[in-house]
Amino acid sequence: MQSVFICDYIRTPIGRYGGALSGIRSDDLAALPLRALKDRHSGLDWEAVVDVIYGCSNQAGEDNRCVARMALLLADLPETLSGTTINRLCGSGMDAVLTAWRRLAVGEGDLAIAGGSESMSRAPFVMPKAGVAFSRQTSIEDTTIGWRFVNPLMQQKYGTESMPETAENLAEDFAISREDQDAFALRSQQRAAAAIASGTLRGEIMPVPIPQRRGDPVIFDTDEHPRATTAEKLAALPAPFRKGGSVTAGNASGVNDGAAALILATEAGARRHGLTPLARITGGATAGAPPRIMGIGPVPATQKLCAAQGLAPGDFDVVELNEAFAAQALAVLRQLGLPDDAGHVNPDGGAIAFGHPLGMSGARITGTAARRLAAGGGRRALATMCIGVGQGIAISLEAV
Amino acid sequence: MHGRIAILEIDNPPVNAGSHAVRTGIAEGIARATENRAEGAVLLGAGRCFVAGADLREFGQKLAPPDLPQVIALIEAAPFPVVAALHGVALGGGLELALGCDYRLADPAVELGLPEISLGIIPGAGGTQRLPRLIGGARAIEVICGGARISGAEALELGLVDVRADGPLLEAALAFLAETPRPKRRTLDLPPPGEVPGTLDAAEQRALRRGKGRPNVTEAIRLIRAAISGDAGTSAALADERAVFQRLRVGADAKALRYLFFAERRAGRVEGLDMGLARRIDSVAVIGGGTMGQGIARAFLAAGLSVTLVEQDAAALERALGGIAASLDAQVRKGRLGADARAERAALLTGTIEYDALAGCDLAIEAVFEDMKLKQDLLARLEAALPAGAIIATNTSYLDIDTMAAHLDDPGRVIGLHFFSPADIMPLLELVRAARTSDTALATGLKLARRLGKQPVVAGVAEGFIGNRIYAAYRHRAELLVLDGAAPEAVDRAIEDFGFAMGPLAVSDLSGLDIAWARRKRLAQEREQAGQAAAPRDPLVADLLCEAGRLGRKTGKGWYDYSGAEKGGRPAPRPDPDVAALIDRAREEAGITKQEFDPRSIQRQLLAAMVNEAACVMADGIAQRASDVDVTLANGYGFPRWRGGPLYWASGQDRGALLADLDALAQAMGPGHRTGPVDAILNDFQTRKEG
Repeated sequence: MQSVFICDYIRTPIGRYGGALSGIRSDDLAALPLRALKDRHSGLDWEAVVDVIYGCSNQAGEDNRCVARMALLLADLPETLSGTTINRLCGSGMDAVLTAWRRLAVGEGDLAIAGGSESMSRAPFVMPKAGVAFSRQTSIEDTTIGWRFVNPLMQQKYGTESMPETAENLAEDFAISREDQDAFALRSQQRAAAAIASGTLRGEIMPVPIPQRRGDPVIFDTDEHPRATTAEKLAALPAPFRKGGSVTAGNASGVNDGAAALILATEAGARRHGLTPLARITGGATAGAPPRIMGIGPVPATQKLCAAQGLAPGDFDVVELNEAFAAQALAVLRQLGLPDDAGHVNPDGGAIAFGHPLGMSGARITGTAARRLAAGGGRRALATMCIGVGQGIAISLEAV
Repeated sequence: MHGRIAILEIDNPPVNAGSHAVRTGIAEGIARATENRAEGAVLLGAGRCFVAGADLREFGQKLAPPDLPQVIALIEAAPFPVVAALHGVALGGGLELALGCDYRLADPAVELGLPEISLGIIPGAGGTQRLPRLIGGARAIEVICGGARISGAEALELGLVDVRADGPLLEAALAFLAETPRPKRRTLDLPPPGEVPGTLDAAEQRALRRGKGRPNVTEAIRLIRAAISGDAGTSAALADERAVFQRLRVGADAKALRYLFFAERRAGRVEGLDMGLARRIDSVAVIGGGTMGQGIARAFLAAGLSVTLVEQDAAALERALGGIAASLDAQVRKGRLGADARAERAALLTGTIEYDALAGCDLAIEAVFEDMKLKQDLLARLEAALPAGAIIATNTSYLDIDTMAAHLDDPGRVIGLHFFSPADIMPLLELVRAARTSDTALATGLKLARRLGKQPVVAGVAEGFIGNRIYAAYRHRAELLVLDGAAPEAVDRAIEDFGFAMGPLAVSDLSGLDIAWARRKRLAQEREQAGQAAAPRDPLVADLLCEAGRLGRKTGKGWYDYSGAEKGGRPAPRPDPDVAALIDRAREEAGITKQEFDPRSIQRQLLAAMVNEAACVMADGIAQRASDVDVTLANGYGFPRWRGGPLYWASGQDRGALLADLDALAQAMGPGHRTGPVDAILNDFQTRKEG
């Protein structure tokens, strides 16, 4: 099996729902990081890329009909390249990286592009066809996030609670207090603010020109979701999802837009194409979990990954844990035996601050972890995330 | 040492140029700080700036170790963080040194830049590798290939500077280190910031266009690209950069550009002149608000001088002031001028039709129609209106300033300030020292040139001074080549291949053929009056074009046809069969046999014409020194800078071949041609080692 390296990673800034990126078509958004990689590596033999693999969890709007293929064409990559879009909901972007890794590891080629993209702002309303002939009943479903076209059998067997409700379930099952959730959320915001202020993220973010009705485009270059907040403000927010609940808009991730892409290469590929590796991919795992507490998914996924490599969760120097909800992240940390405020977990903040464009997030946290290793952040990194309908996914990296 | 912090101060007056002693000093300072177990270090410059660049005088020879990359490697390897505290300027090797430090702290007024490209080289101490990691590839290309300067404010925004120091620099740097632990942070370890797609390519295209295919520009772009992709690996890229730098440093381009660098500084000096005599200039009057007057006013406004514009009547004044306002607005629209700066400039401008209003002016410059009588009257009025001792300047491009000033009470107040259009953009300023121009007026003019950011050259009174005179000889030769059989486009292309942006005929079309037409008529008349019989051969065709109403671009036709309008931009010149026919007819009528010219002989003849006239200028004592001629042609006439100038170029040519070219020139020009003492001038040039 070939060793595979992450050799570059870039992403758009993350936009708020209806924010700076909402005017950009979903497929154009997906093309942006590809174009940026092409600019950076103008001398690369792009024809050698075995596949462009993108994660995207919607695919019902402008991202329909395989957004990876559309994006690579829109980014002016050679039309001889192939592209595939894969869907593991919130874990799609990470699954794309793992799929690309396996493609290279088995020797299919020496260069691959993985990434993820989601424009939740532009997620369409969809209207089903009539269920029976001449039916005049119809409905419109919003595809932004969560359940649509609910299958009554699914409802009957597993329940179809909304994502925040699954977080409330976790908070109850694992006795995670509102105070702990808010404190976690505040740390995420503070770490993100520090990272933005210090310029730590400049290396991974590509500025995006936003066309204006009149005049020059405005350059969008800073994540839009983080908020300057305080413990008091967070504590004052209502918990609208359940009577007596603890999950709020402040201790949950957001609904967002963004795209990210990575260059992967085998050792020979890195040498042949003159790429400088950021980190080596050492493994990956996926696992199922009860849909009603879908947020616990990183625990079985990480345990599987660790078992395969003879490691313990404490062996990682850098951990990127996608913060779908503070309740969910805390449940995972406690189950993995890591402190609530561990400095090496999301050291630059997480999705509560930055937001969670579903298909993009997995590519983002994998790339961020790789960059941190390359900057001397330690020897091993773990990136893991929970997935709606009850799954977890994890990837492990090693410093070069 | 200050506590556990080592303080390394660079003290090499006047501008802390990076000499061998400076490099050794820093290396020893770092070693000593390491021995003393320092926990941090501050690197700063004594006096008025950080480091203004390398000492160019060392560049012609082998550089003595330690070289700058070695010094920077020591800083990077030091076990403690090094903070560069920047003020004044940090240019070239100075900025590279700062880039090699872990952190940068700067006075907001600091100016940062890498001007190596203008010297024919590239940054050779990691500049192409470290700068893009801090500010991105596109901006790095602009700074490195375009010579753009970065202000302190912009540097902060770009992340080139980490923190702004408002108080005393050293204290701010110490506070920065004390505030919180500052880990080592090598610039080479930072990933380059992401960029808007396409900006890198666009910056590269712009730089290549501006760089005219010079090898140092293409090399710099290649190296910056390598830094952005990170693909070569940092140590290999640094070694690559150094090797390119060493190769270019001793190359022909770099030698010529270093020559010009020193020649330009020499040109601003006059032997034996006491610069202390210069008058302080705060307020100036510009007489005449035409194109030239407006440009001169803008140049003064840009330098922060208050300007009184004088016109004959209210309507003309309104037009002139409106023209200046519109031009400032255009600069704001194009992003070249901030709204605040525009307001400041506008506030400095007043207009008048009364000469009484000039009682507070320190200098007045006239830019009215080129007519001796008109100018004589005007100078007299100015002498009456201006305070005693104020300088009177004329922007004439050919009139005899001695004659113009003869009737004044004090002709010593009069000096020629020959601006080039557009006066606020073109860098050259010919200072014309008339026979009676006082040292005070000359010193004031030189100081004013510096204040305006212009390149001064001092000339004596003569037809066309230095630049226009040589240019006229060159154009004359070009026109005769056409008459004798070379196609206009072949003539232009031959000299464009040499490195000129445009050939002489295309330039004539741009500025209007009627200007030179009027000059030829005037000179013919003057010759007739003086009873001179012999004149160089008449180029004929230029007159015929004018008579046919083909006055250049402004009439859509001249030497070329401009009717094929390109979308957006200016129409490109197209060879015109009508012109070819007109040339053939002129040749037949004059009984001239058509000759064949190959591109090389066209090029050599055009250059020989310039070199010959330059020698005449020197023989007549119109220029102070040969290198001033080169400075004039390189700054005002598009002579390719990397070739140094006509005399520098000629000094590097095989002398026999050059003299043969000059013989051919004399032959072609006919009996009225004056052959300059080229051989003697070049011998003198070489013994003075001006080259």
